[in-house]
Amino acid sequence: MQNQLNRTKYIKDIFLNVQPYLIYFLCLFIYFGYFAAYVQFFQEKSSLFICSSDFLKENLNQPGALLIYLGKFLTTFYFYPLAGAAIISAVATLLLFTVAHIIRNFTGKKSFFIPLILGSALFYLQTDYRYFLFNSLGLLLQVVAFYLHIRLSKFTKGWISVLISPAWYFVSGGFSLVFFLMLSFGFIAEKNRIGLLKIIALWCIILGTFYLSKEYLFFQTGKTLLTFPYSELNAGSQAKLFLSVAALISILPFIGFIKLKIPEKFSLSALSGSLILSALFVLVATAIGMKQSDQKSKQYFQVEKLFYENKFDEVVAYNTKNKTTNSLTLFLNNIALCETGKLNDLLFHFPQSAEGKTLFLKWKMEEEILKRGGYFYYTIGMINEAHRWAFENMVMKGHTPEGLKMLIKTELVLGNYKVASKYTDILKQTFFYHPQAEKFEKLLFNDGAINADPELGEKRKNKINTDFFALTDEPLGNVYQILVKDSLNRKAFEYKLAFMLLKKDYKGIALELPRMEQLGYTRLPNHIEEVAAALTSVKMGAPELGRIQMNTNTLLRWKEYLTIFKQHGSNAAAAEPFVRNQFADTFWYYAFYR
Amino acid sequence: MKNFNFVFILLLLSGCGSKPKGTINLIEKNAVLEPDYSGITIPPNIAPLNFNIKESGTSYFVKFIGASGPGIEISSSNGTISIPLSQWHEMLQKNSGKDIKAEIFIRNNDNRWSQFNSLIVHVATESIDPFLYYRLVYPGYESWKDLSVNCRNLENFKTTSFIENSVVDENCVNCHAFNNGKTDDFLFHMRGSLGGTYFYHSGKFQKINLKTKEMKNGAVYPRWHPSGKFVAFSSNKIIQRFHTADNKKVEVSDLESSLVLYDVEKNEMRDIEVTNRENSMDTYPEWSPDGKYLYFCRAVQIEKDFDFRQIKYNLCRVSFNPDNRKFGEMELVFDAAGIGKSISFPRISPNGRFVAVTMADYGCFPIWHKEADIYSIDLQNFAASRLDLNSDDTDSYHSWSSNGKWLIFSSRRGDGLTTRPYISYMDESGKSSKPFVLPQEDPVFYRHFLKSFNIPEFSNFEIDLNPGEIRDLAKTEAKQAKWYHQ
Repeated sequence: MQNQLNRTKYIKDIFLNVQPYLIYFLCLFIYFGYFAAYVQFFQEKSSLFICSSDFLKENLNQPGALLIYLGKFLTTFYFYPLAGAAIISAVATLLLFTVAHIIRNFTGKKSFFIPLILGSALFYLQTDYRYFLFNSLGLLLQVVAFYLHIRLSKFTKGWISVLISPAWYFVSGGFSLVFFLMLSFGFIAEKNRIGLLKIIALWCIILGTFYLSKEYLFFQTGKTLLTFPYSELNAGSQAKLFLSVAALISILPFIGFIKLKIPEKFSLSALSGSLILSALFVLVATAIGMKQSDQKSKQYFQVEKLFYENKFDEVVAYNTKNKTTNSLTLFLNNIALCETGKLNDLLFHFPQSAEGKTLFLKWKMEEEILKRGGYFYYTIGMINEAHRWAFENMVMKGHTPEGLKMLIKTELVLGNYKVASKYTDILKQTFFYHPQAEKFEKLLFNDGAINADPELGEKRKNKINTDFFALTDEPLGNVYQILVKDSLNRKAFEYKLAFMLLKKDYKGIALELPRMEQLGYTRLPNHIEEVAAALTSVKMGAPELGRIQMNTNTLLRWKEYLTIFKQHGSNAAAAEPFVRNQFADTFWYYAFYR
Repeated sequence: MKNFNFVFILLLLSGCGSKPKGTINLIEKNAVLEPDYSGITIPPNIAPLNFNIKESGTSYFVKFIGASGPGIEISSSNGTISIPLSQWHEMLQKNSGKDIKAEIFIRNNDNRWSQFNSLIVHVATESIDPFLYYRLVYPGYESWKDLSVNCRNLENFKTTSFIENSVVDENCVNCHAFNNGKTDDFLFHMRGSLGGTYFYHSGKFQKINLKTKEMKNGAVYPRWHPSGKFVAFSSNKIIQRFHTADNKKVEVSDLESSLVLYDVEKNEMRDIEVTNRENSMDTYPEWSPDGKYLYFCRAVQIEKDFDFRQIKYNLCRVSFNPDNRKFGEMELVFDAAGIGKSISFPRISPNGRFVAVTMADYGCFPIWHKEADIYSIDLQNFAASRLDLNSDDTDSYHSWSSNGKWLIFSSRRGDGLTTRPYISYMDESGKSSKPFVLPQEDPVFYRHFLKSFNIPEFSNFEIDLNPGEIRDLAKTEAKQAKWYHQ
């Protein structure tokens, strides 16, 4: 009976200890699994884990690189957002749990306040999609190492930790400073001469390791050796908060020195402490989740996801449903419109930049531009240029899943099979992209298969064949160059017309109309027809359309538009609300009011 | 029961025997090997020619036989033939000037052995310079990252990087140049925040800003005078553009270029006055081994709306007197434009007899030109011949060994994208042998490696510098070169 009671108490104790952390885990899991899965999407698409010894070797080239390797390994599972949510939540929860145990070890009491602060800060940091996993992982490794140090110091007296410090520095780079500080403060807490000796020995070894690393092993600058792999950019530009968290963890052993005398009446029972901490976790997580939930990013990454899957109709449908002004989203949306032959039918159903920023991205050595800008060229058949953007991004940022796929696709379209096979070999060595690699592999050295492929066959057919030099800063200039050399490139033509629409270049469009029949148009795209309708009522007269018939409905709508306009005394401002009501997604509205 | 186990193990071992036995089926064809080392001539001090047998089988066995012994036997379960270093060198030393043969055996799925045609390799008597310096860089367009200049010991597989741009704020490092591999004088340029030209001369390492206010353009392509006292540079204004349909990545052209001379000891720059220089673009300087001539490539100065396909460089030279630093009259050495070609990278053999050049259809940057090939011009009769070492793809940047018997060059023949260093034996008459790719410990290394081996240069010296020393010098202010007013 007594045993049974003890057993029940033991289970209850464990439950009370673990419960707040389970709650914390669940909060994070729900947030990242169901509300902010874009975090995992972005990070998974930003790196690529390759299962090869070469990839491992590349990641052994400097202290801390192994941590990046480990981070990339775990991030590769973000391919499944729920797995990603579980990993993010587990890393943060384990960190908190270990911290709580360390504090308990020093104080003999459970701590609620520090886990709450740390838990909130970690959650906050992770809500930024640019905060990469290796940051939390780096901190987790330090606290786990310190916890093991405490547990094993009964046998080793802490000397093992001192002796392995160079190896630990190699594994976790700049993050190991947290561990070394914790060790030092832990040794101070021993309050004896041996502790002091250990501190001296530890820092002598660390400084020696640092000197050897700088002058004989890795040759990097002191700053790099001290901080890598931490960088403000990879921590979502949240340096202050991240460094505060690291500092708080570093001084954990000092917690033992703080003797707060809490009056008896305020001390909490285990049950109430556990419940309060759980409730606070839920409250704080909800508050942070609501504050940090980034709808704009969520929407953008959903579009990017559909875009990468070549689900162009869904991209357009999603953007139709979820209005956006984000120029990158609209850039992808315009490509999706062009790929589905609707660019000049639906261009003004979405906000557009009059300077063309939503049509094309200008060359810039920045990852966010480099990794996306090439898709425009891929669409209009400038395959060399699409390849260049992807290649430059690979050189700057390493392999990414979509970057590698673009390199393979462009090399296949160009018929450079030997190079394409190198890239497919790399893609085959990934966890989740090998089916696509195998699909590409079947196309190698097989012109017939490529020509028959719905995507690559079309790209090969549309590929420009007359050479000119790419105008890196003038995407529109490239479009004009293509059309000078290859007047039948319909996608380039669509972009040319779209830009003319944005520039309200009626005369230019009128001059292009006679070419449309030759380009295979059987009807005018809606916005072009709107221009054509407008042209009928100005001095230029009816445009030359060949056998293409204008839709009478468009002419009627144009008359209707003019009628409303005239009803308000041709006062544009007065007519605007009424015109907007019916014609907001037309060229006419754009021409008058944008 | 024990006996049964013993017999079973014996049976198992006999089944797994990795040496050919029983009736051997002779297959009269060459096994497909990666890399292809058949019929090549190799230096007696080269690293082992590890290779992979790309034929299906369950076991592989290769027996190397030298005319003067000793032999080497290697078994493999996956076709990778890794030759032990010391045995390999012993075999090469004993067979210098002779052939060595590799008998290739493969066991099929039915447990029967087949023998393919033997691989024959000729071992030359002349050694190769023991070190090769090259830059590892992605064969890209504008950007760079993780760029290094490495030193490879050609007698084994040891590779060290002596410049790493990761330690110098990711600045670009280029144009490393040695004084014909005979001394440890060398230089390289660094571009970016820590820019300058880094000279290692007479044991002294310095960072110099070569561009003076009198110079229109910076110093670019260097060549050391054999005395080590001077370095001739071309000073170029370069543009690069990107083809949209041609199967070449980049088009690099000079808008203007001229030659300048740097006096290393006086830290002094001066123009190289060459006839009609104002109407010409002069680039790629090269000294004759005796230091009495400066060779260079010359094209007509382009106009504003130039056609890059019409820029053709000829090979010219001027005499030079090192005592008074005076140059003589210009002579045309080879009229490449006359045969519709353009010359780059003149490199004179150490005996002064031949000049190896890259010839392409146009321009001065042939590394992306598929038609680029290496030619040899005999300086006794100025006759040019296309070397046998060329391929259908780009064969370009080349460098002589210090004894003039080996030529190393960059070739894209493997995949059309990445350059690999190939080595060819050059005989007395200037003819090349079938080239072989720089041996690697992992024979299929090149299959996956995405970076190019750029500017391969032989050297007899292992530079006594490490990236840390370069990092420290990079942080210092560059010493400004002076301009010599003539």
